[in-house]
Amino acid sequence: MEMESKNQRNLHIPEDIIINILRRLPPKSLARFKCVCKSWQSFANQHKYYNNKLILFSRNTIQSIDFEAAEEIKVVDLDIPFKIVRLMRFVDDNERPVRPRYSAEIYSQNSNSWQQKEILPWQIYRFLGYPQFSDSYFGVLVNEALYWKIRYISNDKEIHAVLLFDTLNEKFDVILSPDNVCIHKIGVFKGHLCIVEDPKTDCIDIWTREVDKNQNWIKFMNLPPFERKSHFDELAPICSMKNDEILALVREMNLNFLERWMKKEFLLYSPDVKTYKKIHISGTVKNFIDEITYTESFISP
Amino acid sequence: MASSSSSSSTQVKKITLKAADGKHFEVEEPVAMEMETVKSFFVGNEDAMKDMVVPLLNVSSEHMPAILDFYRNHSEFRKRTPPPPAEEVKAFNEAFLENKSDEQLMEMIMAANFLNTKELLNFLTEAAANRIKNKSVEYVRAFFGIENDFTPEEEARIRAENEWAFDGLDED
Repeated sequence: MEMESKNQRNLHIPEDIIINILRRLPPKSLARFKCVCKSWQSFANQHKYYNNKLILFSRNTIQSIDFEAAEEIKVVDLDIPFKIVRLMRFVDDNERPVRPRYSAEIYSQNSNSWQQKEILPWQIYRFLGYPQFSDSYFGVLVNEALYWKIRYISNDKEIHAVLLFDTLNEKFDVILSPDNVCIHKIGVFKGHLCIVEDPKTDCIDIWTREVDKNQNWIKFMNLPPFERKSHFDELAPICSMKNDEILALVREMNLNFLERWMKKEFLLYSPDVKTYKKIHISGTVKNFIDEITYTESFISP
Repeated sequence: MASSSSSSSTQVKKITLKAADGKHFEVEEPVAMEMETVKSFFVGNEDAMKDMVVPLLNVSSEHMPAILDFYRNHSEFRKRTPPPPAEEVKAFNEAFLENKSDEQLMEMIMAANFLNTKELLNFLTEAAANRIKNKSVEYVRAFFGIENDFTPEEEARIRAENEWAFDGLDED
């Protein structure tokens, strides 16, 4: 790549410095700077973002928070192009026995329309239990694959499992949970797809299969109990950050029937000192239903 | 070696640095050792004496005071307990970049690169990225002195493909 250049004071700027600056740019700037010259275009086309951001879905908006932002952590409305894969539940009356099935559809931003990809086998179904906040509606994106928490029926038994959608080849697959543990949540920890086990005690176990050569699930991390204000408070780890700290969401619940409310708060867990600390976020976080991590990329919508 | 500067001596040892234009700068040893290039001049170089002048061939004296100021302040920030409030660090960093032209910023980046100090280089490249991120393609070409090697048709095509990235720009 020919990237060296000279500026007004005839300063010769080496390629590694230019790359050092370019890799710090957000996707929108880098997409625009593909027009600067051929070497910048090829850099932008090859560049991958590793920085995890969080998307918050609410009824009308999609907002994003970058917890690894250099200066201030703030919430902004999402303004980059995106691709959506959705699973639509339907019932085919002509089929016996009658079972709900899922149709996988992909949204194209260019044509502003949904297209059916395939109908998933009946053994696969999504179970959104009560209380709903312990279940995620959304898939998690890791290394260009999307994952959903599902139930899978095998030999008349219901098994906890993960549904995988490879976004490059646009193919689905099913991964069964280790020892059929109940999956609380799917998340990205240290760049690996992980499942967070539904806590049986106050400690939370996190499993992954990506670091094991044989693709077996192994226990990957463990979080100690956090300080609860009430018995109903729940902690859900979301993802790991640059220095191995873990971002977690706490849902504080008041189930008193005279005054029912739920509060959400982000915590950062530091494995070195084994403590949780609060994070301050500037801007107004709209009341969100669910949060997912995402990594920006240049996959065309 | 660094061990020769025993902590028992009350006076902080100084190291003399020579900028590209020949100007000398006396710098406290711990501050000088923040620069990997200076450190490697002494470490593993048995013949080097602490009173030797370290030549910095690629750093102009114009930027030396600011760069040394950065090292002094940031090493103090790192050592302080409890750590300084984020606002204090932010205020220092903002003041550091104030009134620096784009050219001066790029020259300091080159100096930090030569001196091989991650902290300063990260800080300055982040600042450069912040300066250009909302700017036009033309501004950025001038900023880096880059020649456009696309044909007008090619450029128009790439622009059309990335149309979403062209709104809400700052003025040049």
